[in-house]
Amino acid sequence: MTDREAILGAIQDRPSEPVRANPAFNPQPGDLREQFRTNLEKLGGRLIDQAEFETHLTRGTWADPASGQVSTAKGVWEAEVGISVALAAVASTGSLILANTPGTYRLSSLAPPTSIVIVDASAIHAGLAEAFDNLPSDTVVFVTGTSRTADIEGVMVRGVHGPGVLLVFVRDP
Amino acid sequence: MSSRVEDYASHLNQETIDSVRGASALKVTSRQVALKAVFVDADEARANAAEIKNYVLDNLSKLLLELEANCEKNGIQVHWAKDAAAANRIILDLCRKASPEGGTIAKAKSMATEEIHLNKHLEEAGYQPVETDLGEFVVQIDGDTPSHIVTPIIHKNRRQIAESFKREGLGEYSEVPEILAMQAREYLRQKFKDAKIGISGVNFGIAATGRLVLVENEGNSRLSTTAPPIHIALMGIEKILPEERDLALFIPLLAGSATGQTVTSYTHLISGPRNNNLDGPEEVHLVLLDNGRTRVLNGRYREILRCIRCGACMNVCPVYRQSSGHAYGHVYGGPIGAVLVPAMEGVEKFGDLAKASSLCGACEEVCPVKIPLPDMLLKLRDDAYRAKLNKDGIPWGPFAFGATHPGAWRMGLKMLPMASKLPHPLKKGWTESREAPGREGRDFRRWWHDRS
Amino acid sequence: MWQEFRTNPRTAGRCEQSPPSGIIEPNVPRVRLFLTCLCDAFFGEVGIATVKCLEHAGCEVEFVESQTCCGQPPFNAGDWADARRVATHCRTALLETKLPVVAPSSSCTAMVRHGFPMLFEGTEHENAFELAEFLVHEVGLQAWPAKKEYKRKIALHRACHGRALGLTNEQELLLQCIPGVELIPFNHPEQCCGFGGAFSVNHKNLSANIGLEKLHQILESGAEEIVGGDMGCLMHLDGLIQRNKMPLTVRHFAEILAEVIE
Repeated sequence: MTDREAILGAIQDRPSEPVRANPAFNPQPGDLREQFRTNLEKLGGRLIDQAEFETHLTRGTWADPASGQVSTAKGVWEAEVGISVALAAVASTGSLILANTPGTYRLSSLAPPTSIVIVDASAIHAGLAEAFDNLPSDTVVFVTGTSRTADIEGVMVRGVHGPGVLLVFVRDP
Repeated sequence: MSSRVEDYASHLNQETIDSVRGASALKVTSRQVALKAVFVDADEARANAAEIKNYVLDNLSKLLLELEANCEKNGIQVHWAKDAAAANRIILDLCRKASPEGGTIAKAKSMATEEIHLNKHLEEAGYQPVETDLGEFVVQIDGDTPSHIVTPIIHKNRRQIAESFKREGLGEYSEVPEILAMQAREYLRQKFKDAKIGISGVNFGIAATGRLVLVENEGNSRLSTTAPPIHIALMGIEKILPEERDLALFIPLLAGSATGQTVTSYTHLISGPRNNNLDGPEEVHLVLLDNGRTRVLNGRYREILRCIRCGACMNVCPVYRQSSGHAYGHVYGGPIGAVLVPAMEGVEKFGDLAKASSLCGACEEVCPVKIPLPDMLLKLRDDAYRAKLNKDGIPWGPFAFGATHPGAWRMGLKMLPMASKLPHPLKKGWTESREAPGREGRDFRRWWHDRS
Repeated sequence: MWQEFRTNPRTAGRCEQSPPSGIIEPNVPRVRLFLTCLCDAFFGEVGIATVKCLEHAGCEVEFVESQTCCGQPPFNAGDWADARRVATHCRTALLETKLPVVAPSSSCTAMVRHGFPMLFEGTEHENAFELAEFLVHEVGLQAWPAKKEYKRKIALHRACHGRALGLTNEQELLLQCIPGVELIPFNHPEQCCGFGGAFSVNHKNLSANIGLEKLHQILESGAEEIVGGDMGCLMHLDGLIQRNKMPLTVRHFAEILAEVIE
């Protein structure tokens, strides 16, 4: 008997109707963009404008091809800044949703100490429920604030493995 | 008879107790604040989550097959392991195929891998598994074990960590958490680049889409599952969720309960190996682990399998706070460990853990999936007693005789002042640290008799 | 079944009711006293106070002489066979009545309401009440009609078994309007005192350390007296207080309620 057969053989299902997740979240003040900004800032992230975005392009950047920018760093591990494009954002949590679609990198938002994420203003979901209902089939990561740890005496430290600086450029149409 | 928890706690130094107690208390407060801020009614959210997990347990084989089929559609190779030995063998075979000459393995934090003692097996086979979560890394360089399922070094303070880093040559001695974290970052960066294999656990496996969901704050889990050419994920068979929309409930519930966050920094939904992408692993393997879970599913403690490993029950537990997770003699400590471990591995070996509780019920009160932990502790005591284990030395038979014979009961009460002068094991346990109660004021029965 | 304590003594504890005066017209005139074994053996005054409180609330109290114990001690120790014997006696002697059965203990009440269905599947005893729960929810009191003051800084310790009964702020409601009573907030009021029945003996060090942690929180708050609704917790805390010579006293809330109506 294989382990698969042994495990499945040891389970007797009691078929029942599926139960739907039905979480009720507290409403938040402000429009979606305002909510996104508030929550992002709470977690150590910051919104930047076009002018500030451009100042970062002069340093050692590693740009994901989807951003349309040119990489000036030798490699993603050596870069000071990584530029990525988010598929969407979540207002109620300040999350960015990055999809690993064909032709994109995962490490551009992860390896460099500063991460810049571009997201379209029209792609801000209200909450997690909408976000999870509209995911593509690619590998996806929800980035919510900077990398952080509180392993040492509960003291929060940013940027332990991933980026300690998170800058978001909300692009208007 | 006491338990190993009492024995361990009795010899625990004050520094460790202070570390555990301080950090636990902080987490209790931040949990309350977070859940209250996120949910209109956190209690309703917990009830909803409990129902969904019950559905999962009631339909587990159907959902496992669905998960398997959808993972394979996504290019994730699925393996089944009935016990720890099988899981270790499967993972080792995959490592040997990927990197026959040994080498570095980047490990993300995973209680399932702790449960099967994977690192020991990998090391014996010539590999160098490196724990990349900051806390787990400290545990590993110290030759220690995690004392909490979410915050593994809750029992250590910054001075102890600074000394370990100095000893390992990670940098100049410093007790500043920021500096310590950066020393670890520098050291582990190279490990991520060198690693031939990445190993992780799984927080949720989504049956409907065949995706593996991992949540974390540091980024080491993303790095471990992205940088090396092969990713192996180990998942307990109960960690399934039916659909992705369930995550809208479970992610904030887990984050709030575990660390007092709305969502963790990174919620990773892995759809499979690199697919015309410019990075990411070329192979992804999922190992489904039973290791006693089907036995639990079919028994008296089925509901314990709803657990999503948030650790909230440990943080509020007065016994855990005084004794640390190490006291439980297993990778799972605190209330969840006191139930899960004897349920999975038998009351013969671990039945004493269920005694290490004042049954205060704080654990059930915070459990995000409403596991009736105090009731289960009671049932385990019943199991242990019927198996003639862990007898108390308290004569319950004579007590029950007295309590079912009102005449004998009243006689016993009259004799109590005399009896309390006699030596008795109960009395010794009581008076070692407290004064014994005396009869205070009037006797109720006499008063009642006199007034009527 | 076990519920989160809804109110926090940190924020509550202010009297917002005008206390009723005189004897109350109860909607439950006759009740049965569940004395509990600890009050039977050691703390008769608490039993006496309970009767006085119930009578002051307009109830007629009956006492069944054949009552003994609810069986919780062997139940918690895992000896369910002996627990069933004792529980059966308790059900026959005390609970098989249409009258409400009231105990000055959430622990014993929880054993009846929550523990008995674990011992005897399909049974329920919805007529068992903890004293404060009964006075607030069944009699309908929102404050205690005190006749005199009780001048004390009080730390209210809520017994954990209140969780199993869904108790919230009942004892607080009754105490907070008594003139002179000052309810003092302290850190981590939700934490257990460490008693736990047999746990206090077979895990004596853990039990004592948990209790001492609680006592230190209370000492820090400036309270003079610990008031609770379960003599198990209070007996354990008092034993620790005496051994460590701490400037604290303990009292069952029923004793205070009875004292201010005399």
